[in-house]
Amino acid sequence: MNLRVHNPEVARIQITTHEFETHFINGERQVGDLNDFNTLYQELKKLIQDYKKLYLEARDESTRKEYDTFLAQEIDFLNLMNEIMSSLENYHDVVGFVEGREIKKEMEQASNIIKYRNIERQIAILRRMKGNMPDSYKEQYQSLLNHYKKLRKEVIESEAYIIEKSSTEYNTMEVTTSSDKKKNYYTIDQEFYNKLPLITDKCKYIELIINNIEKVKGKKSFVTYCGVTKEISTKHVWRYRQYISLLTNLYKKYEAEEKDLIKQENERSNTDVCASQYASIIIALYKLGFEALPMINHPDRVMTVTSIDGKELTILKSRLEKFEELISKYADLKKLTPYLDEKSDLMVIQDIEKYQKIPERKRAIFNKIRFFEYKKEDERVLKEIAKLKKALYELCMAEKFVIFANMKAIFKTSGLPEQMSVFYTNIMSNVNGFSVSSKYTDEEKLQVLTDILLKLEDYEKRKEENKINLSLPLIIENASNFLKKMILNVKQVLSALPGKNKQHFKILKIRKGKNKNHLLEKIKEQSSYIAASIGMTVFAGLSSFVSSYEINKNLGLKKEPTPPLKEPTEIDRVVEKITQRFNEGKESSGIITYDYNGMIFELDSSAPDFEDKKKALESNGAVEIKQERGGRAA
Amino acid sequence: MKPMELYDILTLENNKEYTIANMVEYKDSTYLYLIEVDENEDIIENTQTIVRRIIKDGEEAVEKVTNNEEYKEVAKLFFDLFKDLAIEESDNTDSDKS
Repeated sequence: MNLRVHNPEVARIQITTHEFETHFINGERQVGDLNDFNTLYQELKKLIQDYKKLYLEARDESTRKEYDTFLAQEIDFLNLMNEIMSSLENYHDVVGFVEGREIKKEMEQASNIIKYRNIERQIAILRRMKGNMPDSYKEQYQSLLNHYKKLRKEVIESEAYIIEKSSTEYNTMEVTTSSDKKKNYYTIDQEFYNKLPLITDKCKYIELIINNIEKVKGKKSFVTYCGVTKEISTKHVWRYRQYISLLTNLYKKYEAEEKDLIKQENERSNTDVCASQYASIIIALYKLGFEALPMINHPDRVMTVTSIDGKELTILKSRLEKFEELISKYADLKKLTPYLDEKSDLMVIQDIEKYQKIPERKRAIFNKIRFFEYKKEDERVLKEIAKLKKALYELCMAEKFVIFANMKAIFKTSGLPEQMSVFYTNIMSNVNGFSVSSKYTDEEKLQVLTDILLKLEDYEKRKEENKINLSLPLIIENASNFLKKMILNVKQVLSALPGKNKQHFKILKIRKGKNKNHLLEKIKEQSSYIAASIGMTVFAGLSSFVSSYEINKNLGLKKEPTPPLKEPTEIDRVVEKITQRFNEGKESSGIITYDYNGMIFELDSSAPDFEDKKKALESNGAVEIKQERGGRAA
Repeated sequence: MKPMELYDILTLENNKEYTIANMVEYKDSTYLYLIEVDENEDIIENTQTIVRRIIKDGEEAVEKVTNNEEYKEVAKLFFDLFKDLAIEESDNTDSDKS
């Protein structure tokens, strides 16, 4: 038995074994030592048995810990890759989608591989539960296995493709690294990095840093990539390299295509420019509304949609509705601003000096996603832009509503303990969408939500009374059904909150219901809403926003006169109010948005690594996107 | 106090009828989750409230919960009850589908 000495038990075994061997095996046994032999043998046997048990336990524990660490690192790594790939997809959207070209083959291959690896890890995690895997996971496990098998062939081909495409070797460039004593901290020498003329050179440089990291074993390493610093395990450097190599290859291709794009742009007809503007709007709205698509985490929810002029875009299924709405709105947007007219300039720029400093090739990309700003003070232009912004903002808000409505589906389809956590996460993340700022507390965000919902109710009421012909985007109307129900339930729950005076109500009569089962069924149907309402009230702190008027009105115990109908422009005021809050939040939130070759980076100025990231982005030519009143930067 | 069961119908002094959608015991008091019902005993979703059962001037009554902490504690208990009910409903719906 060959056990390494790493604890006293093993040491004892080794000593005893040595004695045993010395005395009885190597011929040094003395006559009359049989008792000693037996004693020693038994002792040794027991020690070995005990140790074996300990060793196995320790090994299990150690393996588990190691495996957990491995998984954590892998997940972290995949997240990093997800992030990078998402950024790349953004970049691709700008370059590829505007041109109306197909999704790049490399991108598909890379996505395949990452999807596959991700599934592989999910399966590994679930496998660990085998034997006591909860039923709720079994279906997911089986589905993952099926998906895994299905992808396998595809992935083998993808890997072969990537290996073939990533064969370029970089050996000539010097790498400048810095490190401190505690950790290996490799960062890009910004000055040097900045001087590199091409993205491919920059990637090559990053790859060399990665090579360097690989030489250091058993320590944690950090790498800065596109201004984002990540800790990576040296264990996984090889895989990181694999992807960096892939990215390098992709960038190299984009670099060449970008040049072609600029060339084509110059030769383009006005009609094409207009088509390009249209694409810009879609992209801008896409960026305005949401972050990069989380393709890897939701492989089944991704689909490709075709825009009205035949261009394809991959989006989440849940966002299909939004895109349909956006596309249908395009005709109106076109009427709203002269800048979408084919005879107009492609771009209006607010800070022309800053714009001129951007390298030309970057400017070409930049043009495609920025179209809000103006080059001169022109009242008419400003007015039109304001209208456009308002329309855009409304669309953005519409999406928030849709997502909020989707919570209904989430609430209905998953198991409640989990669904509550999903539900709250969604509430918070969506409410957060109203005011990006961390300046607001959850309560304040919910207050904004409450305001909107109350206005929606008011709108519905007026609509029912047929007194006002007020049109809202259909998307809002659809969402409002769910929202109304939610807020009503919340208010009902809140109705029991403390009032100024105690309220007692005598029970005049207690009787059995005519149909107990009917009542039970109806209450059951409502139970998820009621639970959510109580949850929102108790856990999310919505309570302080409903006035005593609301309490009394909803209790139905004390009548108050119905307030007079409000002006027809109320819903506009709501939107303005939200817009105002939204902008206030954005301006003071400390979120700084940068545009780097079409990739959008949002940095939190209060984050400890803010300065590093800011410096890294700026020195690489990223441009800060200033926020404007009345709308978000695209 | 008169015996009271889930889904019983209470007529309050505002002459409205409420069904007992849920009921919890907390610190020696009984709390009711009331939902208003119409004359056909269909629930009126928009009128729901949490009250404490009391004796007022020798008569049975319900009282609004005025203490914030008390309200939160009781609401959490109701939250659990309705959550369980929702799970049951969700399971039934799933099994109906399958």
